Amino acid sequence: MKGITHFMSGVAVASCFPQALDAIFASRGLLLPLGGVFGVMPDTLDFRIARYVWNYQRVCRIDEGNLDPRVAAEAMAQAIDDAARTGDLITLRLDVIRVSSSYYRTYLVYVDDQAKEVTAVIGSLKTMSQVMEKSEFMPSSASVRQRIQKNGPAQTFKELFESLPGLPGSTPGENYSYTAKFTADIQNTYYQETEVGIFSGPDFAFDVGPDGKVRIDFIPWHRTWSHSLLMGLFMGPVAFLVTAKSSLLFSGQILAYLASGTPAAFFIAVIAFWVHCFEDQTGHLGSNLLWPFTAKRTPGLKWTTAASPVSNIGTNWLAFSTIIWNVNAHAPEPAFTLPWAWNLPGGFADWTYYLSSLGVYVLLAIVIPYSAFFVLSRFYRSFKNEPGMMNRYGDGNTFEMAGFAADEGDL
Amino acid sequence: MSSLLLIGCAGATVLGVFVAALISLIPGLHIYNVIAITMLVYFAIMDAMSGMDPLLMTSFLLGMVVAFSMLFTVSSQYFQPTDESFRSLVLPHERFLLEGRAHEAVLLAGVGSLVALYAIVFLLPVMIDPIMTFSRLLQPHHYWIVMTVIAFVLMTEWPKDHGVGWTAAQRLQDGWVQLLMGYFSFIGAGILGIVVFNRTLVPLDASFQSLMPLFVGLFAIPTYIMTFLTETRVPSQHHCNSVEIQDLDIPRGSLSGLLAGIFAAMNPGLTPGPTLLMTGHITAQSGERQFLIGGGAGRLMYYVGALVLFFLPGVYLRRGGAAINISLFFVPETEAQFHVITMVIALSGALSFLMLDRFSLVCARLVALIPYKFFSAVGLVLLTYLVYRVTGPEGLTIMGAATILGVVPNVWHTRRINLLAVLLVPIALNMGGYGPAVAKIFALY
Repeated sequence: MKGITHFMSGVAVASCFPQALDAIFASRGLLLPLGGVFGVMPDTLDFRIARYVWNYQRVCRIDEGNLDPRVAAEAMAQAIDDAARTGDLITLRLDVIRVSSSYYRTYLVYVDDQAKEVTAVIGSLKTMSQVMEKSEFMPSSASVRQRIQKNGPAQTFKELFESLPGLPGSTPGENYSYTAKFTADIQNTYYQETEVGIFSGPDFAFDVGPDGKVRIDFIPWHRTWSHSLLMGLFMGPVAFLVTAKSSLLFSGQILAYLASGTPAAFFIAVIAFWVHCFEDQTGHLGSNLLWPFTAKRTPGLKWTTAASPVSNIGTNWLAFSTIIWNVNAHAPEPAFTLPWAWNLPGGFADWTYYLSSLGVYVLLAIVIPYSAFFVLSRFYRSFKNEPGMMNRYGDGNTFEMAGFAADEGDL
Repeated sequence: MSSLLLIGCAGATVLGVFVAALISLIPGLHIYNVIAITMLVYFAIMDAMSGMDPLLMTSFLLGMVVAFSMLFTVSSQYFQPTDESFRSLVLPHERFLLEGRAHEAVLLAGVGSLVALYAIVFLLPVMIDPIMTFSRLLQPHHYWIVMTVIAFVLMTEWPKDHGVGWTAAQRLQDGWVQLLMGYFSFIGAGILGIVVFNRTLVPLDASFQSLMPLFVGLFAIPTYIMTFLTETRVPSQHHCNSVEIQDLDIPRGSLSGLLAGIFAAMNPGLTPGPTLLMTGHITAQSGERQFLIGGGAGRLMYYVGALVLFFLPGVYLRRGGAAINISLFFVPETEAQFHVITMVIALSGALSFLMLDRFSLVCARLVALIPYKFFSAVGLVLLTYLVYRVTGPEGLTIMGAATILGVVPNVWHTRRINLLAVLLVPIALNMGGYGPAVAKIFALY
């Protein structure tokens, strides 16, 4: 999920605590923003600390002046075999080829665990936007697999590069691909292909598992200790101390300072953090939920991807609806009431009134919008899958567009 | 309401559109600065125009706001090219200029503006009840909403790379320089905002324009400086007759823009910059076309939508500089006035959209004939003079301090959004009731 989705989910979690809402009216409390802060905290820890602390051993760098795909293919294959031979953990980074502030030279590595080959394909020049929007234009995984079986990865990805968004005519005409062999058995925990595009490029870790296979972990510093249940528990005391009155601490009254903390802040921080981990678990990469008991990430449920508009918009809408419901139901004078509850006595403090209103609200704000969105997206996808619409890219009838579902590209 | 008044309003609207189009040729000039000057002139001659219906002046200002929100980015797009060496990331409209496709970017933003215009003219009038409900609901929550935006902005700027160094500490240090400079500009702008909000540093009669030197210094002058330093050559521009848009680009781009605009319009202190950042992520905006369309929709929805909230019967929310200035001489009272306002927006919006193509062509020809630095020189002289004329030497001093901060994001490649702390921080603190305590720390209270 995107950062804002985690952030909104954290705010929604905080809004479920009556103490947080009461504090708004009583003392202009800040527990709702605090929920957002801890909702996005796991990624903040990763991208601001973990990526620097991670110790990478090998860096593969291709120069725009000498676009040699052999460098990347052999670096990957060699790392796999070295890990198998020595039994040591090998880490490798594939550096981006930054041509200017606007353009990156993209390339792709494809790891075939059956044929024991790594194929590197040099792609087109792309802007950051074009790299980011790639997933919207990607063919479905199934049709890519079919094409790879028919034409091989090099030809398939060359065609894809030429048809996906990018600077027209910027793919290299010759020597665009290289295939390197490796001998070890592998277990790939992520997609077979990885495009090297923007920012700092992907990292890989190669480690021999108990089954003797070399396990390939994608961006191994991401979603490890920072996305664990235990780290979530650590966040509770932090939030508790943040909400305590610092003036007491500075005046040396330690016990009074500890007593002034808000217990709700403890639970808001922990749950907001855990909700982040759960949301990430719906993707492909997964998280290391049980750190420090294991160093491996638990594979994701593969329900969605981080860039998917459907899951991001859907989750944000759910968070937004939750926040609106809670702030209205806990307001001294609610801004709106709902049918069914209109004729009931009492207000939101009365359980019958509350549940009746909630039922209508769930129907109006969640069930109907989600159903409408589902129907519209189904209609859109059926429209996109008409034969005439499928072949905008590629050379004919091979690629079936994944389109709006964007079933590629998890981060 | 007489037909003559309606014709007069239409005439004033058209005049407003053309004045805004002329002013929009100067990059960096903000509509609120122009409105401030217009108000000074208007108040100076108010006695002589005592018989004039205030709706005429309102129509003129509305015409200016609508046209400006559609056209003002066009000139800066053509006349303030980006030097790639100063930036870690070149934004789509900046890159389009360097590829000879600036007109395409203008049209894409225009599409977004048009969608926002339709939403304002056709949707807002039938959304009065939900808007009133939302307004009532959000009333006690503005302070934490603004603080939430601040928290999001501060927490989601990732370092652009892994950092260079053999040890983790060296890499951390290298990667964090950019982040720390972002925080530096945020804190600096926040403190500047707290000072200006708590002390009237400019002459009393110009106190309603106390933010002008801040915004000119933080945003306009640094952009002029960077334009002077830029050695980019602007290639000849292709004047396309159509733009390539995927089927979901318009709804998805517009959705993020409309949400950003209405979010900023309904919450004091927020502007489209940070809200576009948030809604772009919320809607999983993708690609440069959606970015450009969203920007166009967000700007128009913010500048015009916020103003419309002031006229909506039963709502009368005063948000943004234009509404504050209009409220000095006009109080909306009747539904008939609201319909006139809707007519004015539709007329000025349609005119501005039709002008967009020619306006872009004029800018493309001008930049081919005259060195682009000339326009920034004109803007620099004009804005400096305006700041001096309106806020005196004190204003120039504030502008100078703000300029130093405004240059930081350009040098250290941080987000310029951090500079909006000048508005976000004091407003959030004051709304949350923390303002006096913080002002006390700075010996301002």
